[in-house]
Amino acid sequence: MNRIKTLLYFLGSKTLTAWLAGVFVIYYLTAAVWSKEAFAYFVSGLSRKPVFQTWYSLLLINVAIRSTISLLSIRHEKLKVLLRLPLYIGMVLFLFSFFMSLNARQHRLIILGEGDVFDLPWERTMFRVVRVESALEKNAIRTEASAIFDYEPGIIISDWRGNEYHVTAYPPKKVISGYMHVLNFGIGPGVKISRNSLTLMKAEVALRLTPFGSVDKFEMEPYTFYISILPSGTVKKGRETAREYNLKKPRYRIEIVKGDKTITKAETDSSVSFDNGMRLDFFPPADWVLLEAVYDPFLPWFAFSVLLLAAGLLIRAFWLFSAPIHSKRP
Amino acid sequence: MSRFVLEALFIAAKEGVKLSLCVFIVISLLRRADRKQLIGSVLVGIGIVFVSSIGAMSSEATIEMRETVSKLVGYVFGLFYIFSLAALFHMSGTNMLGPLKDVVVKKPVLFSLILFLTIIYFMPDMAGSSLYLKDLYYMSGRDLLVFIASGVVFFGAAGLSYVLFERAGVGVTRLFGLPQTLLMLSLVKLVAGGVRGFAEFSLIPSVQSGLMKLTHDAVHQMLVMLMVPDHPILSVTAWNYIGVLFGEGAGLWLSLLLFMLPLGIFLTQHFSAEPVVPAEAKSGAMRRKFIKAFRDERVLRSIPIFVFMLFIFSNWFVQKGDGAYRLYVPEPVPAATENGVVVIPIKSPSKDLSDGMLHKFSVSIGEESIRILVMKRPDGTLAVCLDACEICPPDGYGQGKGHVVCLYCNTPIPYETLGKPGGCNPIPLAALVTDKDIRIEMKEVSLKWSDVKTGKTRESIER
Amino acid sequence: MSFITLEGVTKEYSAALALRGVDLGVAEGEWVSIVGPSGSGKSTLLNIIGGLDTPSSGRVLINGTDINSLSEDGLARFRRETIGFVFQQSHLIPYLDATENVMLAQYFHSIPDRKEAEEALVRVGLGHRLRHRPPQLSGGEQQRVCIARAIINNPALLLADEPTGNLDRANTKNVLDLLKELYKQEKFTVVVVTHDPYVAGWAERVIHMEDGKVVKDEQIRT
Repeated sequence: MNRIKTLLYFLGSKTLTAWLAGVFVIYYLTAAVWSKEAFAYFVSGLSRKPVFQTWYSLLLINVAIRSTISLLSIRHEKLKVLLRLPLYIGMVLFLFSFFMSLNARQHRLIILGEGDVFDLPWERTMFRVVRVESALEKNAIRTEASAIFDYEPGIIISDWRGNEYHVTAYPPKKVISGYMHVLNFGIGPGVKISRNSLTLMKAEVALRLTPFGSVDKFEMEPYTFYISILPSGTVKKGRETAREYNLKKPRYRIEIVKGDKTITKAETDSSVSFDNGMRLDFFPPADWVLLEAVYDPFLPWFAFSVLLLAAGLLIRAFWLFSAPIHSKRP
Repeated sequence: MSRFVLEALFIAAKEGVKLSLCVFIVISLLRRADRKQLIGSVLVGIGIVFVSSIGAMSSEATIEMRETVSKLVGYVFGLFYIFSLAALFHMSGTNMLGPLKDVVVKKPVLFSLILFLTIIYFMPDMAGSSLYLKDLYYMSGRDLLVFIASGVVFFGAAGLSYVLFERAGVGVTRLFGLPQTLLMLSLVKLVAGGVRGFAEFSLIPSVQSGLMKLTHDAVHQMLVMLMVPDHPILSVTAWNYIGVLFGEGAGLWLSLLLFMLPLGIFLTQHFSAEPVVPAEAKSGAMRRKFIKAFRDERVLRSIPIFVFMLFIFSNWFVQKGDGAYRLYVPEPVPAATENGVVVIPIKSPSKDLSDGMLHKFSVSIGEESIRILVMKRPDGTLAVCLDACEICPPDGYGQGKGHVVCLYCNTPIPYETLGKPGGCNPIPLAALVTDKDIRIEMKEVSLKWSDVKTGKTRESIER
Repeated sequence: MSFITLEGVTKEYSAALALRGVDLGVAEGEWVSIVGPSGSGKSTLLNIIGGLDTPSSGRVLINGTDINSLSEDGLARFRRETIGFVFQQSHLIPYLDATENVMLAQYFHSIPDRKEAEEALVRVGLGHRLRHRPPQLSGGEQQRVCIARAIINNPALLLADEPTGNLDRANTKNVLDLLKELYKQEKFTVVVVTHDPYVAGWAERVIHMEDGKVVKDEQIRT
């Protein structure tokens, strides 16, 4: 019984806090000096390496015991307890949900266009993309200073029952048991590749062509196609010059490489012939998004703990700054 | 006297004064604590360091070895800073040693501990300086004067300053308990821990960029956990808000906070502690005298801490004042190409690529203009990269102090990591760097540039 | 060994010799009176014992310390920790109250402590006069404040120069009664300079001085 008491006492002691903090700082210093990615390694260690997990569990226990002791010591001052509760609960919950979230989280990154169907390992339904909402205006005008994206991109998906979900970049949308949000988006030019009028491939290829001027590529053995979008004209108003991009029928710069030799270079909005009888046709482009889907039962807890923690810190700060008002020193 | 000999003299004098200052503080602490028998441990440690430094000079010093030495200086600073904080809190009543309390005061343990600390404290500076002296010797065209002069100045400065400290410093040593001593040792390291002569005097810029990286990584992790989309999707306006957390200004503030907060907490604890009057102090006068002595000692012992804080604060102030966070963004200069190879001369009448400044060049492929970034790293080698990273729109980089900064997302990249792939680091280019010029295959440039915006690399990271 | 030892102490002022080779020993806990006519050198002697003045030659040892070998700081520290002074003039600060006057002595010794200062004033019978300033106090009361001020730092030696010079007989008796009581309680050594045989008669030993020399040294009680 005494031993358990001693152990509990040590687990809740300032000494242990100091040691744990010291161990972290020394780890961080060492790792940062030698590898520069100390924090990332630490975070990944929390979900994989028992050493990190042990350290973290000790910290969690220590913080929990110390918070409890601290609350018990002021239990007769109801107001004080009430005001400190958010900070203490926030702290413990933050540490706990951060750890659990790191260990329990599953996530998928999927590139999607309109009509695509996908499934997720943690859901018992398939999803279908009903519509993609591009963040780009269909007739984009860009000056040197203008923002790259005009709207927040979005996607509407439906499950097998026909329930529709509107997922945007932020905040993440709760979809059945997981969360989804859009991480990135772009334009997928519609392309058809044919040899002597025999179609070899017809698809919309999801490329990263924004911000305009970006070059992306797709491959079809033995060719690699480098594509970028060109302005369809310039608009002049006063001293300002802007480039205009027609996104319904974009003008592309295309460079076709076979092996390591460039065989054709062209600027077109319709088609280009190459390599004796090969032909590339462009169709109206489709929008695509990169969707991040996450299954994380602890995410709401984590978000809640961040709020609690922030509130607790604010209350604490006010309390400290107004200390002379409520603490009477003899 | 040649520039090299002059620099050697400077290094030798600096190391000499540093050595004697540190040894003086430590020895007077041991004397006051009635631990004279441990002075031997310090001297043995210094002997070992000295012999190994001479050894380092005669060895074949690789770039990795130099980098290691340089990193060790920063590492040791950090260790001593933490030790001093731990000691401060231990002295003011928080038991930092736990069950080890009775073990560390045993003589053999103390002896080995002090020996170890002496070696790790002095080794990186001395070995690093020795290596640098050797470089100076070669750079000066094997001028033996480099060694002779620096040897004489080192011992001269060390001896002379020790005598001076002994004369003037007797009263001053009252300010130094164990924590204050450790804090001063770390301050000496911070202020004068550089081992590359004129080029690197203090460690402050690298400490600061390290801290900036920590905030950046921590905030980034929070955003990932909370599913806030980062780099490519948020509009410029949104980034202007979030970027505040990642920017150089945040690094400055955070470094200030990280240094000031623990010391501030300690000082409040230190000054609010009540003296425990011993039972022998029977009369009121004796009690008051004890309290007075307690308070006087308390004020004295806080002076080194205030000095440390003042130093950090003034340094912070200077940095903020001279606009360290205003970035230097040079205009790209068109680079020449010969038979599909980009050729950039290292020295031209108007430019010297190894001057430590950020240099940008542009090459055109069709209508597209691709920017290349060249900069000297602290180890003296040149980093050749694209002026773009794998995850942001290619807005390029600006130069801050001790790091370059992505102009899109404000991520600081320490000079040391230039040329390492990944994250928001500029994408490294395979280049042939001779002492005359840099040669990069045009294909390498165009391929890597297309990688930038295809997001291929980003996806591979996410996977 | 004596608590106070004087060895061949002389003091020379521009032309005149105030002390002409005084040898004297005072034991610890002794109450000694020094008497003699004006100009006999008794006050000079007291000032030299108290470190307020330096001898032209000779040595002064107090509790084994040669006070003339001390530095200025050392002497000041020695004085404030070892010696309490009471003079004929009270030398109280007129705009500070009784308690604050005592606290001033605490301040120069170490740190002020109001509670302790008030207790000292209660001990000298001024519990009802704590907040009164010197002009509001009678001569006897002022001298009591001086005594409280002199003993507040727990001195080993109390030097008094005509402590009752300005008081009538009744008040003189009161002050001396108080001093005696404190002397018994605190067991310090007392040296009183006076020309008044009544005051001198309170001592255990009376030293007579004339023309800068000790002429008679009598033990009147033990």
